Amino acid sequence: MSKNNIVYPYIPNSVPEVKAEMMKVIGINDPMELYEREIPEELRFKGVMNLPEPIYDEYSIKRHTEDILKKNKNASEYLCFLGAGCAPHFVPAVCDEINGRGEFLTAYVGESIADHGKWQAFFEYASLMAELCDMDILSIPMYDGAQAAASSIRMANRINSRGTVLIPEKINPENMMVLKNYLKSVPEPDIKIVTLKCDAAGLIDVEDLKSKISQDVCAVMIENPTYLGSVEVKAEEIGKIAREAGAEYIVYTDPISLGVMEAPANYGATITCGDFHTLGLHMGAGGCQGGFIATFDDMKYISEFKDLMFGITETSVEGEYGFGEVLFDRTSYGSRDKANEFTGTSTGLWAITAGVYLAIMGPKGMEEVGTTIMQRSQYAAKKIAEVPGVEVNMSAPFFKEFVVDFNKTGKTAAEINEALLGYKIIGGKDLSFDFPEMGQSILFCVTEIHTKDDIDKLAYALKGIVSR
Amino acid sequence: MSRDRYSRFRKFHQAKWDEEIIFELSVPGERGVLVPKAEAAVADEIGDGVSVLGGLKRKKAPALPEVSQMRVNRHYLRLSQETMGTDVNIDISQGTCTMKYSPKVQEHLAARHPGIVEVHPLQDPDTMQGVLEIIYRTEQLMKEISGLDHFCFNPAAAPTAFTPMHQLSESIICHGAIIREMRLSPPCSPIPVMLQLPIQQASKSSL
Repeated sequence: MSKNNIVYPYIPNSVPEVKAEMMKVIGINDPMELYEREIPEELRFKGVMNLPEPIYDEYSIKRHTEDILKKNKNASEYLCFLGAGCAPHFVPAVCDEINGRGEFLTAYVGESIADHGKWQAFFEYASLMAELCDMDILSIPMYDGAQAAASSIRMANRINSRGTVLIPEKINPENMMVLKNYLKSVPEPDIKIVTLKCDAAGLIDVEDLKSKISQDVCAVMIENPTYLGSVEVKAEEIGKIAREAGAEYIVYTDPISLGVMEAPANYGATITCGDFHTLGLHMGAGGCQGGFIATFDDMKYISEFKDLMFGITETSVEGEYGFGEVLFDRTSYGSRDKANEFTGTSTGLWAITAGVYLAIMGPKGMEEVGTTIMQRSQYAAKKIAEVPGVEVNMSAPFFKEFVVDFNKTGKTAAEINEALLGYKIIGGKDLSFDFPEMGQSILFCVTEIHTKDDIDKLAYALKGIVSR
Repeated sequence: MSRDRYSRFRKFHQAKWDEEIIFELSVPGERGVLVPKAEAAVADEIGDGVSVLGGLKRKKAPALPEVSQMRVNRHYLRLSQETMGTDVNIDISQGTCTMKYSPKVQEHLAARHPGIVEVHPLQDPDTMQGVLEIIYRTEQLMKEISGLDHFCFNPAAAPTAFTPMHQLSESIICHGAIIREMRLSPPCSPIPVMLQLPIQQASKSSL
């Protein structure tokens, strides 16, 4: 089969006769004539690219990819106790059903005349998330939680023109790297990051906060639950200290905790942010993250959001709903380089999915899923702590994740995780690289998908591994 | 009935459902899905699990709607019918993404295959060789197509604009001169030298 005669199923107008007809209309005999006419000779590519032989038929493409994907271990064949910013959760079938719909899946920036339904779905996502956060305002989402945290701090900086942010030293290390990148140089001005001392469970030393708070601080940001799983029990006190100094109080949270944990707004947060991948999305090797920022209904905050925002309005027909963009000129679509920050298109489909998840879960579902996670994670911590030589020293209650200390076992965290794979278990996050002062510790993650049997199996495996 | 013979227009009408806002569909007590509960043995040993939260236990349940699964599904299917995706019609609306047909086989693999959807991004590299191989092979293709030496993925348009700007400022601040290869802190790690030409030109004018 000559390359020129292949009819490509994925590309329209591939039939040679159709191509010939089109070329006749524009007066050429060969598509290359277009390149020769439009692109100066010195800029034209000469030669043949060194690319692998194409696979033409669809079944072979599928087989080829599946054979590569078989090399991955995954959470459907292994038990996965890995969290640290992404976690295995139950995804209701309706979430996949809706985000697989071609109309949503392949929608782009259609206006309300074409995409009324999408605009309503975005408005509902924001409304549902606002109820969960007990706040009023959200934009459409950003790329991930780290971006949401970074933009929250930039918002605070624009609101009060102060140049320092206080952050716990034990926040998610990946988020910290994004903050370091995003808070300096671009866009101006640089925002200085000052870290707050934390205990082994990641809780802030309030005295250290008191010594560092000042009129230069634009925001105090905490994670609740923290990266190491604990619940920041002094969250209200921390917020009071921040606000009395005129700083914004930013709380980074895991939204799936908010059926049982108090909404940050109710203990003083002025900006709530986080990653909503826990709401009806798969892990997708990290491809299903989505960042959100929520605030109260106050122009001071609304005008500082960087992304598109959808509001509801009346139309000329009584009782009919219309949806519109709120303060479009805030965004870089509207004001280009004069805008607050760059916006972009990335996670709209995930916003629709998170909306479906919250609609289907309702208040009762959110309370139940939070309760199950707390019960099972506490059960897991208890069972693991019974393993000789292994310690769980959480100084506060925890949600979903907890630190297990293996220092007295004589084994490294890496050795333990490697041995767990032999039991078909994907272990937790090895903390020895990011927090060397903690020695050989692992952050385990237990969610609503882990049964008692799964947890008992993990404890049994750990017992076997440390006794070797 | 076929299209209008002369204008070639379709007598198309998009669905208009006058669909309620999801909160208006709420009926107290309705459930959309039931979620796993801790086993009796776990509850016996641990208790309710949430009392330990003390003052940080949620006092007032979030005011989310209570809707049956069929009604939620119908609601969002109706909203999807009020949306003009590229699968339904050509989309030439705005240009930062040019909309093309994405072969369904790709979508089925990316969105449904457990070898992708059930993989955690922080797994031991030994256990995610498939994902890494796909990324690596795609990098090789992109290098060949761009005619440059290095390549890395960026998540979306805005970060892609941000990364080279940051690289440029870092290179000028750190070295005062143009360097051939640069690294930026992870997670953006290996940086495309694809950006070298614009960086060199921009640096010349700004230095």
